[in-house]
Amino acid sequence: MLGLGDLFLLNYESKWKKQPFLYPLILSNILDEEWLRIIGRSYRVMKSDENSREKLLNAIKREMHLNQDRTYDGQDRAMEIEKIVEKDFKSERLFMIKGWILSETEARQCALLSLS
Amino acid sequence: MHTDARSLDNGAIITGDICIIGAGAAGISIALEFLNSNYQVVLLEGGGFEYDDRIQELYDGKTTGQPYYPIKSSELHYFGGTTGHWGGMCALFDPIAFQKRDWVNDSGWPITQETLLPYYRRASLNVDIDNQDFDLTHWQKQDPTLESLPFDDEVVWSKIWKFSKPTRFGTKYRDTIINAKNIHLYTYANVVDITANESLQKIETVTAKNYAGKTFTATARYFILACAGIQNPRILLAANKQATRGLGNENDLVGRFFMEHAEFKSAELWLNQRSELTLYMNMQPRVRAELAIMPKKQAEFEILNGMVSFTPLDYARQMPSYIQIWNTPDPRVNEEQARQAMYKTAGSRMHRLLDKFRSSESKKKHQAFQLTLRLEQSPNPLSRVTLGDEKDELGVPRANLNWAFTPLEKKSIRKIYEIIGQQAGQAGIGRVRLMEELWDSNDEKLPVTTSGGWHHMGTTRMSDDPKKGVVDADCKVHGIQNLFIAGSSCFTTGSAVNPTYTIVALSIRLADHMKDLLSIANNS
Repeated sequence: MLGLGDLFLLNYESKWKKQPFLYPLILSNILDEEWLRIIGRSYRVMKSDENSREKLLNAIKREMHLNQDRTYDGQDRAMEIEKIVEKDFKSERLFMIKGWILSETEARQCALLSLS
Repeated sequence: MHTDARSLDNGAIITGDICIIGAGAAGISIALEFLNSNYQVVLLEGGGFEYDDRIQELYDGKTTGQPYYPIKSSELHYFGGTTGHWGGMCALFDPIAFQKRDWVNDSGWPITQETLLPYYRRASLNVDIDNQDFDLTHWQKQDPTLESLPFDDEVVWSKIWKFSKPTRFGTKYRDTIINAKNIHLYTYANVVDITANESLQKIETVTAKNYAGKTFTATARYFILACAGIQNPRILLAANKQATRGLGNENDLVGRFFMEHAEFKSAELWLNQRSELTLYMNMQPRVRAELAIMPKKQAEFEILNGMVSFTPLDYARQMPSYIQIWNTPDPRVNEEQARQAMYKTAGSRMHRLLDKFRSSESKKKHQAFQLTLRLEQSPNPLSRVTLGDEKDELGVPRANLNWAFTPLEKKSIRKIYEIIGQQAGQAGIGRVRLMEELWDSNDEKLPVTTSGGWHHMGTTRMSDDPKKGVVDADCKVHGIQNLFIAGSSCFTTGSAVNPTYTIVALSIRLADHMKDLLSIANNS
């Protein structure tokens, strides 16, 4: 039998696959959507030069190095984004937002979510 | 042998080869080293064998600066000393603790960790640690479930703690000391003064008093002050009839550099998957780990040493900080309040409700953990013990404590969590959240909920240079040929671990040195 936590995860997984740019994988597993939006709004205040959907999306895509000859589904994109998140942590491209130590990319994802 | 000093004749004179003042972990450990030797040891203890509030009252004093526990309740004044409420946590001071670090003012002991290692091994027997192995891999081989977090071992490491029962020195060693033919324990012998010769280079007598109105003196070839981090400087400062600044205080260092371990709930670790974190939560087989930053990284970021412990968040959030609980002058009341707080938290309605919905497996696993940092304090001359205007019932000025930090503490706390947050993200295990008190990088103050570990260190610090320390590498007071100090007041820096194990190791080392001195004196 599924528990409440499992239902949350199923719901979250489907969002993550459908809208990979809006839902950071690990952070979404830890925080509810309202919190992700709060983080996103804070990021947009901190980085006012990125305060638009287009700029945020481009900033994430720039880091993704997608192969133009290949088609990517939601899950593929989500996995690619996760690689960048991991890379952010390795190269210390980090932000502290509301106390959370976050990668730049997942902060941008939250910012995008807060604009949706 | 044992004498209740209340039964002594007024004006009695006690003699021995060495006179140890204070029967806590340090004093008892030194006395035990002389067991069945040819030397006569006088052991003076201010209290009796049980807690007595009137005796404890002699430790009362005022605090200023960072809020601290009532002084009266922060050290215990009876045979066995503060081991009477010791938690039993044992770990080695790291090699870096002893080193001169350019970014930590007044750091650098005149001895190294290597110097102390053989004494740590001997100290293990005193504190009933059955195995001396502090190597993580040793324990992981024995129990593969003790997995460390998958962090870069060049950056973060898991440091092992071992747990004493805890050994209550007052209970365990009482009969041994009383039955020893060459050790003479005097209870209710509160040292109120020290008298030196005219040149102040040699101690001649110490004067002790008790509530029975008896005043008596002890003479010895060597004296060892072993009354812990607040009372050691208090006694030296109060011995000011010949030296106006107090004995051993020519360079105005006695009482300065008071250090504690700053502890507060400072961050949270939220895991991607629920986990037991067995290695970090484990209490059996009396070994557990905490996270620490590698020395190379401490140097790179110019931060202090700290260790991070884990508590399930739903439990920790309901547990008040120790500074909130340990708030009365009576240590027994405070201990009970701490016990009640833990009991209430563990048995809270929320916990009982949550447990109903958890399987026994998931009860052990948690998604979120409170991270509590125990941070060494940067040596700070303004953090200090001084004499107050008020005197205790035996006529000794009371100790005042001003607990003070430097900006380096807050910087270090923030950086340590940034490092752990970065490591948690890189390993893909979860995210770290810092508490609000750490968000503003310009705020140098520690929160009022900052607790200490009841660890009083640094107030008669060790240095080869008399202008930088009160005692030398052998714990001898600079300029006084027969006065030694035992205990954590000699620590130059405090490392990030509880001091008792190191106090015992250092005391055994001092006992060996005393034996050498006595032997040389006998042969010459």
